[in-house]
Amino acid sequence: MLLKSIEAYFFGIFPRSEKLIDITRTKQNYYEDLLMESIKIVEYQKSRGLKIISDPQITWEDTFRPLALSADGISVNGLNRYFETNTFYKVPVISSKPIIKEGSLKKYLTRGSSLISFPDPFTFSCLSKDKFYGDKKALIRGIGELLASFASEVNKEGYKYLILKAPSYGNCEFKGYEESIKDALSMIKSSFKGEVIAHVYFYKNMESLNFLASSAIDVIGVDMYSFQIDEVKKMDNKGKGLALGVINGLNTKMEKKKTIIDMIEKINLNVNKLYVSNNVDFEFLPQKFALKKVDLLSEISGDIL
Amino acid sequence: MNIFKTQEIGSLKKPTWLLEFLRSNHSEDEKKAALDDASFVNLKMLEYIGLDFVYDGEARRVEMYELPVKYIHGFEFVGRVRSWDNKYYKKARVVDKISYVKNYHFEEFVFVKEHASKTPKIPVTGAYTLMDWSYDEYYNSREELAMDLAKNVINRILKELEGVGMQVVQIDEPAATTHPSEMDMFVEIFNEQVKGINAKVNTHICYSGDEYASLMPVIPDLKATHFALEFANRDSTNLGIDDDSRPGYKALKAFKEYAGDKEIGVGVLDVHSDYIEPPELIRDRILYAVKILGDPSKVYVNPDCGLRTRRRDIAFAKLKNMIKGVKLAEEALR
Repeated sequence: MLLKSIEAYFFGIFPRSEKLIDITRTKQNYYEDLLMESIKIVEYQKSRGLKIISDPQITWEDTFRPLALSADGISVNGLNRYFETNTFYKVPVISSKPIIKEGSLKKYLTRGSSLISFPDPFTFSCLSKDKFYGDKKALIRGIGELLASFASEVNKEGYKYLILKAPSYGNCEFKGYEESIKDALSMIKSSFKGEVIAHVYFYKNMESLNFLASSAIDVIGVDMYSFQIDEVKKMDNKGKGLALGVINGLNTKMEKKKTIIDMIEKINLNVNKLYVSNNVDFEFLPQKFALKKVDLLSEISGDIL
Repeated sequence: MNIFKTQEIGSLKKPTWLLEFLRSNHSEDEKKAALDDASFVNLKMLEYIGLDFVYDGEARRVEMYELPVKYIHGFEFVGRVRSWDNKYYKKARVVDKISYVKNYHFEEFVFVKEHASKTPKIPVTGAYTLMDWSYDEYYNSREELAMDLAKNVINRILKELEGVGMQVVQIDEPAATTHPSEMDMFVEIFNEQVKGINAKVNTHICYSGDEYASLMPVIPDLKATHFALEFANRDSTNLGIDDDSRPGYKALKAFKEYAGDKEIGVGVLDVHSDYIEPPELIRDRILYAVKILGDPSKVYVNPDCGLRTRRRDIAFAKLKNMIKGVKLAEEALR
C-alpha cells in the first residue's frame, strides 16, 4: 500500500445561509453580502484544519453564469433543469467564438481559496446551445480554449486545484468526441500550474472513468453514490490520483465516519494521491447540513491508512 | 357549443394586500376571512375571464410542496434550497413513517365548490413529486416512501374530497420525468394514489427536461384521462401551423402515437415571461395541436403552468388573450 495520507476538500457551489437568502430577496444590491459570506466559508474551512480551501462560489448563480458573463461570444437564455435535480440553470448560448474578458471573473473569486470548480469542457458543450460552431467537436475545443484562459487567470490569482465538474459523461454520448475532449483537457491542463481534477457524478459510466484516466488531467473524482466500490477497484487509473466522492451532497442524512473509512479501505487502490470529497455540489443541501458535512470531511482527512 | 374547454393550471400570484394582512397582527378569524376574500376574488376573476374549469388560484396555499409537507406526519423542514438564481424553496426531510394528519385541502375545496359557478378542478400535489423533492432519512428506498405517501395520504385525501363533491382532480407531478429510469415506479405510485377514485383524473407535468420523451410511452398505463402539459416556453412567437413555426409543440406527435383517446391540456401561455401572447399566436398553437392530434374534442387549452410567477395584471391579460385565441381557433375550424 503506497498511501500515506489522505487529503479532503469539497468542490462546487456551496449553499447560501438562510440569512443571506433573505438578504438577496429584500436588498437591491447584495454583492458585498455574498462576498462576506464567501469569506466566512473560507475561514470556516481553515478553522476545521482543511489544507485545501475551496472557493465556496457563493456569488455563482449557477455553474455556468459567471463564466458566460465573463466571456465575449456567450450569453445566457432560458432555464433548464440541472440533470435530475430540482435546480435549474440558465443555458449558455454561444453565438461567436468565446473569448475571455480579461479580469471579469475576478469579482466571482474568493480571496484565500486554493480550489475552484468549473464545468468540464464536454459537460459545458452538452449543456449549451451552439449557434456558432455547428460542429460539436469544434465546440468542445472552443470551450476548452476558453476554459484554459479562465484556468490561467485563476492560477494567477493563487488557485492550486482546478475541479472540472463532469456529470455529462454519464448521460451524454461522448464516443466520437474523445480526441476533441482530450485536446480541450490538455489545453486546460497546460494553462494551469496545479492539479486538475475531473469529478464524474450523478450517473455511472465506467468507460468515462477509463477515458479520463487516459487524458491530461491529474486526478479522477468518482461519485461513490453512483459507482460501486468493486467498480472503482476495477478502474484502470493509469497512475492518476483518485478523489472519492464519499460525502453525499444530495441527502441531509449524515454519513458515519467509520463507514466512510471502511469504504476507503475496501477500495485499497494503488494510487499515489488520494482525496476524499463530496460527490456533488453541496448547493443541493441547506447550508447548516453542508457545514456539518464539511466537518466530517475534515475529520476523515489525515493519516488514516 | 364551444369546441375547446379552457382551464387554469392552479396558482395565481397572491394579492399584495393579502400578504400584508397575513403578516400583520390580526386574529386568526380575520386572517381566515381575508383568505376567503382572496379565494373568492380569484375564483370569480377566472370565471369572468371565461374559463370552463376553475379553482381559487391556490390563494390559501403557501406553495405546492410546503403546504402538504406541513400536514403530513414524518416530514421535518430543514431549510431552503436553490431552485434557480435567488429563488429558493423550503425543503423537508423524512424522519419517520409517513402518515395522514389532516386533509389540508378540505376546507379550501368546500369553499370553492360552494361559490363556483363553473366546474372546480382541484390541484393536488402528487406522491411521487413529494417524495422526489424531499430528503429521505427514514425509508430504505424511494419507492417505499412514495408508496406510503400515495396509499396513506394522497389516496385518502382524494377519497374525502370525492365524498364532498370533487368531480375533477388535477394531480400535479412536476417531478414525474426528472428520473427517466424511474418511469415504471412513477406509474405504480400514480395509479396507487388514484385507486378507487371515480372523479375525472387529470395530471399536470411540467418542465420535464426531456420534452416528455420519457412520459409518452407510459401514458397508456397511467390511470389519468387528461394530461395538461407545457409547450409555449419552447415555442417561437411566429404565426403559422407548420412544424417550423411551432418548434415547442414537437411532443404532440408522440402524444398522438401513445395517448389513444386521452385528452391533452395544451399549454399556450409561457408563465415565465411577461410577453402577452397575442390571440392569433394562441389560435395557431391550438390549430397546430388539432392538426397533429386530429380530434379537437380531446384538446383543452391552458397556460403552461400556474401563473403565480407573473403579476396579477399580466396573468389576467394572458388569460384574456387565451380565451380570445380559443375563439379565433374555433372560428377557423367552423
